[in-house]
Amino acid sequence: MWIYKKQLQFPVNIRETNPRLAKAIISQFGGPDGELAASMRYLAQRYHMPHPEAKAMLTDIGTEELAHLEIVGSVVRQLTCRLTADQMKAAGMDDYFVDHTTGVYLQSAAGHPFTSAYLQVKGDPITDLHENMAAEQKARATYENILRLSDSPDVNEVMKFLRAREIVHYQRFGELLRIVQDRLDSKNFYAFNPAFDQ
Amino acid sequence: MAGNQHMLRDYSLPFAAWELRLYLNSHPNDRCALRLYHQLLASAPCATYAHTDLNCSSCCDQHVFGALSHMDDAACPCSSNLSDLMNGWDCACDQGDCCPLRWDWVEDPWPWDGCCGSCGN
Repeated sequence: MWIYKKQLQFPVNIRETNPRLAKAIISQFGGPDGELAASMRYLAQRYHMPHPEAKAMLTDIGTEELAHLEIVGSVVRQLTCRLTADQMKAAGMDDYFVDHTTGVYLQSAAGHPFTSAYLQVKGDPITDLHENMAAEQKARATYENILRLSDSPDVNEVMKFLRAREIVHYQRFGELLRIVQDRLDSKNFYAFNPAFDQ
Repeated sequence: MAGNQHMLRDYSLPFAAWELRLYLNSHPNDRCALRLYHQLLASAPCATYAHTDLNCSSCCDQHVFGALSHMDDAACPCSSNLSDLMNGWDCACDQGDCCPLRWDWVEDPWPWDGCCGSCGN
């Protein structure tokens, strides 16, 4: 069960209109290394995790990723909420506009709709935790690319916060991987799925 | 200053508590972190997400000023060293029975495990 708190995890107050930047940032909403993929990956991986620390961590980080999804959606919204038709055409956003107007759709920067093919639930905790660590690094790299594209201080403050969270989550997943590996059966160390071979 | 208090109450304290939750998930026996977590809860009852009391905004205001006075005295609230951070805070857990020995959020069973250990590990 979830409870909604009517507040962003990090404040978003963007004064400028910048549809081109919004089109890049929307990748962290519904793109391959975005926040929805992160949240769904972790929340779906909880079920087969054998250790309570892993169940707790995937629940909490998966929940935080939903808060990040809301932050990214707020950034995209505020960058486009005062958009004029001329600004939209000048920024090359007419292809997005025809399908979604200024709504915030779950898609990548290149326009691909969200798909669960962006994530994996392998059912092997060690495999899945490695995927999660890679996912956090990919998201960090994406936020760094956004920072390279953006010259908006209001946007950059938010992107820097989200980038820092990827680093913390990577650390926590690394600790989980250590916990799971430490509890492996020593006789089966190299070929042992602690979620299946019990 | 009003802006700073608003940031502290609505963002900084909840964030600090949330960060400790993630840390405690992989270090459930770290009593130092657990004490700091409970200290933050005492300072800002709205600070947690999972144990949220959605109707506590008025008591939050009262508690947050207590937290502010602590933070003024803290050597460095931004310290990355948890022990240094702890030095700036009283230990709420010494004053009563409020602090469990272990972070019990991680304990089995979880809702999807079903009853009677049907899928428990």
